[in-house]
Amino acid sequence: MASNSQDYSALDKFNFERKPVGVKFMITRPEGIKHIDKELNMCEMLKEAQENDAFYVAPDDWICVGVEQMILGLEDPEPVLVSGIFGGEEGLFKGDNACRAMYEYLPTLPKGSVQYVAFASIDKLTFEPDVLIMTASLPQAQTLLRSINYSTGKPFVSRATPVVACSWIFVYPVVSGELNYFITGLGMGMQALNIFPPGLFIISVPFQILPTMLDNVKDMNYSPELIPGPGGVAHRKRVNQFKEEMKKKIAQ
Amino acid sequence: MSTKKRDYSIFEKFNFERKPVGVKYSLTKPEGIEQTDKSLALCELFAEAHTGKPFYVTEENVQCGEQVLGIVEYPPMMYSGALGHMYSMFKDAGANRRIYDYVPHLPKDSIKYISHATVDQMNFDPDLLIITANTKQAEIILRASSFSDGKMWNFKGTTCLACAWIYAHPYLAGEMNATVSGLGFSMKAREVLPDGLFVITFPFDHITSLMENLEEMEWEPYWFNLGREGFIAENKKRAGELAQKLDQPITDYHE
Repeated sequence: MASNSQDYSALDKFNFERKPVGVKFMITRPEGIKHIDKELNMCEMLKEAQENDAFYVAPDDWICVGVEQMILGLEDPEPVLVSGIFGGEEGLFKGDNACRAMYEYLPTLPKGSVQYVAFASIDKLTFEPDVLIMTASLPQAQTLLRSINYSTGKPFVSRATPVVACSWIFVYPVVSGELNYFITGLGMGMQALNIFPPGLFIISVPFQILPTMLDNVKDMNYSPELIPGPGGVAHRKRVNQFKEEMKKKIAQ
Repeated sequence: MSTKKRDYSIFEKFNFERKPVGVKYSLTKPEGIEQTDKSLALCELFAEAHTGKPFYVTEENVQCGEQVLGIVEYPPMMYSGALGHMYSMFKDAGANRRIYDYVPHLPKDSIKYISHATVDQMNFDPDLLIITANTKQAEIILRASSFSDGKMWNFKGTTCLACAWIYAHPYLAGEMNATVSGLGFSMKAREVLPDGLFVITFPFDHITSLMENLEEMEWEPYWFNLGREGFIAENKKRAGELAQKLDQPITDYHE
């Protein structure tokens, strides 16, 4: 396991109420980290890592309905899940067909590629995470969601489904290489488990773009509160004046 | 124009016959660079930069491909596909016309000046870095491009308007692109480069990671120098050791 050489101090200015958490997918048992000693769903492990010591999860520790083993590529999907009958009959979807169709979209890790998953809050990271997950307020999210766009111009996009939120928080960013975010209260399983208050942004940044995010956050201004703007008239006056100045500049 | 902040010296290690060229787009006149007095096709500009001092061009210097830069719009003769058959590029106008639905170009009037400089003469951090490489160099560059993120190489191109895939696509899509000299119709006709060289373009937001990966990775892994039988034997030995360590079944692993 690659040791942690990344400097995360650029995130200090956010003073997060809930610590960012690094997650690593591995085929070997991690060293120097304790084995999880509680029964938790994967989405609950985020909170567990925020509040306690680093831990790892082994193949026999997953206790959710079976989707965790599926999205991690540990086991083939169970017919009762992928047929859609489970979600359909429970009333989460109009019918089995809609629930079945959802499985076409759910991102998964390649079969057999992962055996262990390590979790650690940012101050306890001993490894380079595959994905860094931040639980953010709206003002924090405003800066964090811009942090990739800031140097690349790429849009920030949220991809999600009402169930199996874990696949969009933990797996999708890693397999796509894209930042993803999820707003607490939208995931039905997570809401049922009472993990977080509604309205928080769970922002997942995969290893592919983590250096870009950290570099940009260093550069970007952040205010812990959304400062009221100058209002329509003053704002339009300012931007129009700026535009005129730029027009003069490019006419030279 | 932003001034240069990055250190590009890693590219010196390649000893390129044609040095990588940085390209910068701007609406304002570049400082510290002279305008060329030549009239060149867009696909010739980076090759022109190989040979001398940094320069910039405006519409008056770009004799072909200016539509790709959004400086002017495509004329009906091009857009209709009528030219493609004349050049023996396409069977008919319909086939040629279709390419205009996906060939990338910069938004109209979004730039006025295009600066070029070899990597050792740049006074700016470029929007594009265009690398002309032989196969051995290209292997290292392409491996470096996905060394830290595992991204797929995805080379896009068309028979005509090769310049669009060098100058517009990487800039707009934020993706590396590559072509091989001799495949682009007009580039070949204009004898821009000898056949068979890789022309690899990196957009601004991929250049830092490319250079970091080049610093970190092995350029010539010992695997390349074992010979076929040696490679197979070494592969079996090393993969077996790794499988044992990972408690995985020992099968015939090969990448």
